[in-house]
Amino acid sequence: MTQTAEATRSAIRPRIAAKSGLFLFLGANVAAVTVLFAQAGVSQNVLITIGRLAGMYGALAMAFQLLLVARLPWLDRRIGMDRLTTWHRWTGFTILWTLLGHLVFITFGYAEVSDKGVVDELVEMANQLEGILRALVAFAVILIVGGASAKFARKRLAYETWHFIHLYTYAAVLLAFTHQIALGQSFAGSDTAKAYWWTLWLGAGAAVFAGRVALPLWRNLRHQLRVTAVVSEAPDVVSVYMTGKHLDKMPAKAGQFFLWRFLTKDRWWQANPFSLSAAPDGRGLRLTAKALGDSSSGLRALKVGTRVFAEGPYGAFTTIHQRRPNALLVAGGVGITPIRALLEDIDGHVVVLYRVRNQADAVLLPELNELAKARGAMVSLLTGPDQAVGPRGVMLGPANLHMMVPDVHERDVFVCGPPGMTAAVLRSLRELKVPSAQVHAERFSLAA
Amino acid sequence: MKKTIFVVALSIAGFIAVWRFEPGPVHNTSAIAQAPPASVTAPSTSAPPPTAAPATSATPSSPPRTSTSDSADTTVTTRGSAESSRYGTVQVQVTFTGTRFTAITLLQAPDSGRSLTALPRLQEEAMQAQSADIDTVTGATETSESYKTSLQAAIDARGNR
Repeated sequence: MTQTAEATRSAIRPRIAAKSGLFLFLGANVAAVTVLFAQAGVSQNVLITIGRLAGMYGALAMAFQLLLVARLPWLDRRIGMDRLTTWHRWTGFTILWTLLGHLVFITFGYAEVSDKGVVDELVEMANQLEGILRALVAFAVILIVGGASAKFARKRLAYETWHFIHLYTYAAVLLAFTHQIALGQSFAGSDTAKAYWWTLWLGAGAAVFAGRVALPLWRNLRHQLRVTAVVSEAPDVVSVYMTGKHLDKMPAKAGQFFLWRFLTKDRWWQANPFSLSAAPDGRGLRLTAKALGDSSSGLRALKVGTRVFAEGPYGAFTTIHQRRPNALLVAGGVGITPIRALLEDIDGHVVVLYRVRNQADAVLLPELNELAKARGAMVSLLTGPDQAVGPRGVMLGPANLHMMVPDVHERDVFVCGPPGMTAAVLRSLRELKVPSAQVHAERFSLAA
Repeated sequence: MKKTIFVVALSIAGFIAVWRFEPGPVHNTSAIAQAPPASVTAPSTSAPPPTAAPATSATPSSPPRTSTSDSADTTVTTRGSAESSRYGTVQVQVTFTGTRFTAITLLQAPDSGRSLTALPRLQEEAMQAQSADIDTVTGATETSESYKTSLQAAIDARGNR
């Protein structure tokens, strides 16, 4: 049974395909840039040579960064926005360091050649060379954006403030790009180099425009979502039902989320990531959210008929990554929302573990039980304080997991919950030696 | 909200300011360094706008006619050699009135990088020095060398007539 079921799945795992595709793309570009650098020739000054190389890699990293944030559906469905966000962070560090290297080495190099002080040289270049001032401003902007994204700053900033600062990166990219056109040795060196850089930048720009602007606008014009009902699930949890046009054509899958904007006077500027809490049925959508910040609690006050602007669907927490015929779904708290949707969509025998502090927190439990009954799935509610330890260790520890789901090795495991719980479950699964290809986790807190 | 609008407006203003900033010499780059008497016959390149003249105003403003050392006021134009480096090719054309340069035209020049700022400076220096014995511009050593060699060749060509 296992054999036939696996044969029907594609030979190459989608995530592996997307990852290798991205890495191949990046590798090919690094090679191309290196060749262009070699063609342009080295300067007699070593510092200048290093600075130029750093600048070229920095430009490449910036273009790659644009691709990562473009939210192209193909990549997002396969890799997931949480992983892409992690890569985005690393690419961000790369950009910061390469550009700093570019600035420092070039300035020191030219200062050495011209026998001037470093500051004098920098001021002179900014005053006399096209694009130096732009590059300096771009770098300053990138420093500010990077600083605002550092963990300690990020915690103190409202999401909207942070996002607003982050948008300045586009201005920095534009300034940096014109700097490269004006002064790039390799850029001006040959027609091949020129063609390469233009293609790279135009491609990156087109990806961002398509994924961040054109696609969301088009989808919302097409579907025109409106709120049809707001239902309280628990004192601090609320479900929002929506409907729209041509929803059967919307490529959303159970387990995915959208960035929702409710177009009322005081909250249109807030975009919040909430998962669909029911598999899309082609007629309506439903999200369920817990009142964590001021945004979620405001959902309760939404009026029927409110227009909704939704960016998405996003996320790789779907059945396209399923490897095995049967599944285990593990939910923690409000992480039940995508799990509840997956339960409708997933094939085979399903076990659901639903971890909450106490029974009252177990939102959507009645419909979960109903669904389970209809399709022969098993739902276990695990209640108790966070650190509760029983005879077999912590509640979601390896021993307990193995007892509750003895065939866990044979199943795909989907985990969604608060970061601490998700990490604990992943740890247990590693200890139980469940193959990592079968483990799927949505890092909920990173979705923004 | 008001704060946001204010910040956005300020940012746009700042962006435009940075965008429109035009660095000194680069945009005044005159392909021709010209002395006041504009009786030049040769240049195929269009003459620079009058505003570009101040860059070369250090050259003597008295017409060469009054200069004593000169025997012939004939205008002669010679070409220097085309000198290539990895940054591009430099070739000058010099217009002499008597023995003085009245114009140095860049027939060929790199159109990017440090050369952009170096060449106007070299032009100015050469006009002042009235010779190819000028300082190398920092950061553009090779372009400077190309320029000096080409200029020297043009001067030699004048001497051989």
